[in-house]
Amino acid sequence: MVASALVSVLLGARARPDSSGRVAARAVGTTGGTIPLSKETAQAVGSVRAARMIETEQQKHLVLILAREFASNLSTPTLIADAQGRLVFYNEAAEAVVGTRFSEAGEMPLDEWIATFEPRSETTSAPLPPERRPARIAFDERRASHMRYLVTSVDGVEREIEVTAFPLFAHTDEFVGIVAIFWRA
Amino acid sequence: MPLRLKIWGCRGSVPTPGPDTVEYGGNTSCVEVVLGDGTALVLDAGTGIRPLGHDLLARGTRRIHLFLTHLHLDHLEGLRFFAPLWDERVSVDVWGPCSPVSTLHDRILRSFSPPLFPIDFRDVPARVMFHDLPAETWSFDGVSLSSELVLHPGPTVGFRLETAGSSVAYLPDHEPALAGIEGRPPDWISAGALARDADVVFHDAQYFEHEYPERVGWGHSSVAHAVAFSRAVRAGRLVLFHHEPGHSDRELEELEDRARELAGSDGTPPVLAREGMVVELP
Repeated sequence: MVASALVSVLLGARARPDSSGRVAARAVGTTGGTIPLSKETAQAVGSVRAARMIETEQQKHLVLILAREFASNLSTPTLIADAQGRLVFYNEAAEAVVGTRFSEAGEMPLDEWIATFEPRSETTSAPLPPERRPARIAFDERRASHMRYLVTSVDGVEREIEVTAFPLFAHTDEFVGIVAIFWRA
Repeated sequence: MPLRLKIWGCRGSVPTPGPDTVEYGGNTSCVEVVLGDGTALVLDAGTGIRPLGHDLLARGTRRIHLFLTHLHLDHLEGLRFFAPLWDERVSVDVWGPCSPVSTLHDRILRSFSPPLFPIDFRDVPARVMFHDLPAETWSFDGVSLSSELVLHPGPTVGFRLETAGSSVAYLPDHEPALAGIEGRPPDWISAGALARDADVVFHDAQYFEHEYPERVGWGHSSVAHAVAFSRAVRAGRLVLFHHEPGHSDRELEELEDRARELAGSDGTPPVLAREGMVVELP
């Protein structure tokens, strides 16, 4: 909020004053002067705004917001990563599997998060490199991917899981992230 | 230069002329952003754009940027009767969301041709250009404008206007409650960044709370959701917009009372949008 902002809302010819103090014109904050801007300055305003967004939280794409709402209502463990490859959400069913609430884990690089479960080949038990994991394939190659592999759960038990991951494209074919769903095999 | 907006239409869904809507108006969505260099910047083309068009021509306006949040009829139906389109001296840039399968140009042309309209768009005398949204931030005479996709059926954007000293968010059709508001971090709320810390937020408040449950998913907000959204994004003032066509002036005032009750002592009390209202910021 701009502390010096003057907001005057002129309610037109017929205001509706009442005992609560509704009047025809209202002001918020203190009086400030008007500032003529060049187009270059205004463009800088846009840059400032963009910088401010980066400094705080990055607005999630609408498709991710809807995906989160969808995942929140699933009993199947589901996670969501954004277009930068950051894990941005996993649902309660996934929390039960990984043993950590998302609100405690927070956002982090998806590869880093998956690595904590030591993914391994189901056939050779050799470590599974990131580029062979469904989530990374969906992210890098922008296609759906499915695989069965071994992980070590938070309780230290080796488990076989199946993972399906697919990319999310917004309505203009903009890649906005991936969804990965996993089951115990 | 101050940021000055004038409301030419704030009714939702369908125009509602008549004695019950005289005070807040029956024209559908249209807001003018008044710029200092003679360029007109217009948000949405509901029936409010018809009187605005006559006013712009009377002022000698020759350059117009029209920003459409989406193409539902109540945001587009005035365009065919926008007088500047029928003046060859005028240039109009139309900005709006495309769909996954067609451009903005193709989508608008559907409503601008038989059998919906007797005249084909190619016979429009003004110079008209179409631009797909969302895109980069623009600047017009000291005002920057940005857009984001927001929660409403079909491709829909909201807008944020900003100067060095103030900001306004315009979200006439928006149902953020469908994906959550309270308890969500602002970056996970639809249009959270567009409206964050804005001095004024024009926000959909079509329904009373008891009307909403039977209209979930229709793309509009209850008054409680509008207040919750405004609080979540720390808006300075909430302007209740997109009035339900079935609501009379008296019912709208009840809705405003409810909004103020819900807002409590948080900031400046919410206010109903009305035709002719001017919002001015430095």
